[in-house]
Amino acid sequence: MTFRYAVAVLTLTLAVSPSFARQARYARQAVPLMPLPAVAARPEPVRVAAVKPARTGSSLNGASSTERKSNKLSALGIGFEIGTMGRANKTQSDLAGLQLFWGGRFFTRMAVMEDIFVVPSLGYFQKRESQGSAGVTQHILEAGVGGYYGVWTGRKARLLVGAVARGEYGIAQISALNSDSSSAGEFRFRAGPAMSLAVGISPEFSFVLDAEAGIALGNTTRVQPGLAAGLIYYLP
Amino acid sequence: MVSGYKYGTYLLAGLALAGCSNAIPSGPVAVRVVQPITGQRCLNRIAGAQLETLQDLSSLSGRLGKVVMFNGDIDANPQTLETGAGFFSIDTQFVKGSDGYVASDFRSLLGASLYYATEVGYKLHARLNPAADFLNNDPTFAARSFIIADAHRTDAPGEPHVTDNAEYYPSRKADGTILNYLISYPNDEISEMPLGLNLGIMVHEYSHLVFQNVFPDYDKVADGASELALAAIDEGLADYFGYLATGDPTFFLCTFPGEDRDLTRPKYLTSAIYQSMQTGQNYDSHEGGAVLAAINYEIGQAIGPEENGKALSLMMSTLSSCSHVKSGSLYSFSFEGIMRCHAQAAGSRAAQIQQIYTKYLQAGGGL
Repeated sequence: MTFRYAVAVLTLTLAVSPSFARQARYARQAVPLMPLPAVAARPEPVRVAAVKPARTGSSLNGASSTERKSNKLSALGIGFEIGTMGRANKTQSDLAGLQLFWGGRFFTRMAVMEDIFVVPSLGYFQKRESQGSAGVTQHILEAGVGGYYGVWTGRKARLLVGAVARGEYGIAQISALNSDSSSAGEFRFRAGPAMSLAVGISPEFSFVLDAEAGIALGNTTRVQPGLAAGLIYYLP
Repeated sequence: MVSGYKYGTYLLAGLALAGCSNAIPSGPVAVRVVQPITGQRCLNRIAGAQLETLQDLSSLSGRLGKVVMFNGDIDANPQTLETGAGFFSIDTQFVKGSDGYVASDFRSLLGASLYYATEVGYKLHARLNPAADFLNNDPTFAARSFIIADAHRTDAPGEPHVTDNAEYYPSRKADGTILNYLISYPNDEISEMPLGLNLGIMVHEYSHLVFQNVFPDYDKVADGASELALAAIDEGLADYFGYLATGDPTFFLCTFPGEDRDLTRPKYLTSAIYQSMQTGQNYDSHEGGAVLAAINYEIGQAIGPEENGKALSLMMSTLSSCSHVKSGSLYSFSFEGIMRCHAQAAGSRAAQIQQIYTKYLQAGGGL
């Protein structure tokens, strides 16, 4: 009886406590990496019974599980990022033993389970080197998929770690004084660990920073890390 | 579960196969390089060339030597050129194309182009003169030949690095053997064809190699004037062989359009050039060389370019028995002496050759 009484007092204390109310609101708005439902845009008075504090780790972009269940599209985001991809080369490097390619990729981020995300992507990267009138351009078309797990969610940010696997088609193109260009292609596969940091910048958009460290299998095996930054938009 | 395992195995096997199928084979392969279109001036095509003496495309090594690089200034490590130790291979990248492997970065293209030029030079000289067929005559040739890409050297201590140039550098060992270095320096200001990709220029350098390897007494000159004359003769012969390899008498202009190195333009041995070869003042070996190259272009037009190439190559390998340049155990070189040795090597065409030489050497006192 005493115990029940104590629990009731504690519950009531927490319910009226400003800090708990704030926390509960953050639980709904903490990481606005996707548009919050209309109901969330107008914060309701905190009611203990209604506020089932979302486990931050179980929500997609800060939305509670309940909200996500009510609107499955909210678990889907599309984005574009630009950045660089490095390919290890011992005798010709732009930075730290890496040949740097520049480009970007489109991607979608889908929540398939609580805290688990699948990120298919399609990208293009390029590198051109020239001396005088002669040059070599490398084009890389890539398609891949990443699998991530949410390891940390802050007030406005979320960190995912996982792995990516990409198939890429590399095209080499040579040009020289008064001569036609010429090209050839090669398929390569690369895979490796990856991480993604998303920081909410508006209810619909988040800034994303992706890093990966792949190993590319081609006629030679090379380390191929990448770093890209962009925006993701969460579909309503 | 079993099905998933099976598909996973298939996937891994497929990926492994995709990786392995791209492996670069050892042995001769075709590589896409920039090739001059014979008979055209500074017109090129990018096409596959079979590198018959190449043994390993990945390391760009073959029976004619190895394309290498060096970390830092070569001249700061004199033992490097003396011993041939300390070089490393280019980390090449090639993808397979329809008519050969294609370099997917610039240094791989440069390395392949350098080896290609070396092979073209070798084939040209071996065809002209069996004495220059080093692969058949000298089993040590590959071990003592290096093709250095993007070399860092200084002309003199404290000077800036050499750029926009190419060079043949022989390093003579105490036992008389020569380490051959064909060197391509980094491109800096050239906006036209880089030297390493200019077939004519790199065959020009290979021709210096041939001269010094078929004429072991190259260093045994009687005096300074002989040394200056020999350097000019060497440049002139190299320009002519560069023309033979490309079929383009203006191959040098594809890289340096402002230079007076068009072989079709007649040039006279002026008194200024002659005097500079006598005194060393305002001397440029390429200036006298350009005169000799233009003379030989005209001779080539008269007796056939290849025929003249054979005569010149034979002259190079038989200089030690040509009395017109030899004096005792040393050699006295002059354009007149070379004219006579050349005519001697040309046999029945001797008179025709001397006539053309005379026209251009007489003016400045070269005869």
